[in-house]
Amino acid sequence: MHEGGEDEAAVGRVMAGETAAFSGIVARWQGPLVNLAYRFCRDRGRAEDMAQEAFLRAFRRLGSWRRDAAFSTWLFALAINSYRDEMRRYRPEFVPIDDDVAMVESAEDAAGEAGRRVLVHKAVQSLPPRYRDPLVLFYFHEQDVAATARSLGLPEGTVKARLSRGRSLLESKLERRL
Amino acid sequence: MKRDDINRILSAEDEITPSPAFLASVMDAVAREAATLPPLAFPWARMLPAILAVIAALVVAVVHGVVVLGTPTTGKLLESSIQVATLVERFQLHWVMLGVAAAIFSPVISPILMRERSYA
Repeated sequence: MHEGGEDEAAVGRVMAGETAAFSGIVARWQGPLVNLAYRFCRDRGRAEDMAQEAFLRAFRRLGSWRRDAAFSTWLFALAINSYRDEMRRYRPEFVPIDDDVAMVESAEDAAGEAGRRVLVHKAVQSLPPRYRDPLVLFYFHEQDVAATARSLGLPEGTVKARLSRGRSLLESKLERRL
Repeated sequence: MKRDDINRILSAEDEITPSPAFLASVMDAVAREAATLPPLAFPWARMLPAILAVIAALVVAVVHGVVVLGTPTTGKLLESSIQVATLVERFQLHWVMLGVAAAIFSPVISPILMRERSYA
C-alpha cells in the first residue's frame, strides 16, 4: 500500500474509534514534523513538544481532512498553524541580531562555518513571520515553491514575492557583519 | 554574507531524529484526549419553543405598537400605556429587564474592564 493509502486507511480506522491506529500516522510523520518544528525554534526539546501539540491537534481535527488534498498537505498546513501559534505564544525575548552576532563572536570565530550557520539561523528567526515562514518551509520542502505554497495555503506568486523579500532582509541583516 | 552563502547554509540543514520516547509520549496524550468526554452540546432543540415564543411576542408587540400609533386619538395611546405600565408593575418586569440587560452586557463589559486594568 502506498504511503497516502496507509494514511487514509489509518484515518478511517481512527475515525471508526480505533485510537491506536493513530500511532501509524505518528510513526510515519514524526520525523518531518519534529524537524519542521526544530527549524522554527532551534531547540530539540521544544521541537518535540511543538510536534506533539501538532499531532494532538491533528487527532482532534481528523474529521476535517477532505480527501481531495493529500494527507501530508493537510498535516503540514495544520502543523504550521500550530507552530505559528506556539511561536507567538512563547516568543523568545527579543534579541537584536547584532547582539547575537556579538555573542557568537565571543564564543567562536564568527567567520567560521559553524558561526555563520548560527548567525543565519538567528537572522531567519528574527524575521517577521510573513517572511520567516515561507523561507523555513521553502528549504524544508527542498526548495519546492509549489509545496511551500500548498503548506501555507497561499498562491505561488505570493510565496515567491515573500521569499524574495525575506532573502533581501536576511542579506541586509547579515552583510553588515560578515 | 552573500545570497549564495545564505542559500547554501539554509539548504544544508542537519536532520534531527525524534527521541525514542516521542511516539509513546504522543500516543499517551492522544489516549488521554480520546478518554476525555466531548463538551456538552448546546440544547438548541429544548431552546426552540422559547425562541419561537420570544419571536411571537415580539411580532405581537410590533403589530400592537403599529396599530396604536396608527390610531389618531391620543386617548387610545394613553390607554395602552397604562395597560403596559400595569403589566410591568404586576409582574415586576422592570427587574426582569434589568437582569436580562446585565446578563447581556456583562460579557461585553468585563473584557473591556480587564483590558483597561492590564494596561494601567
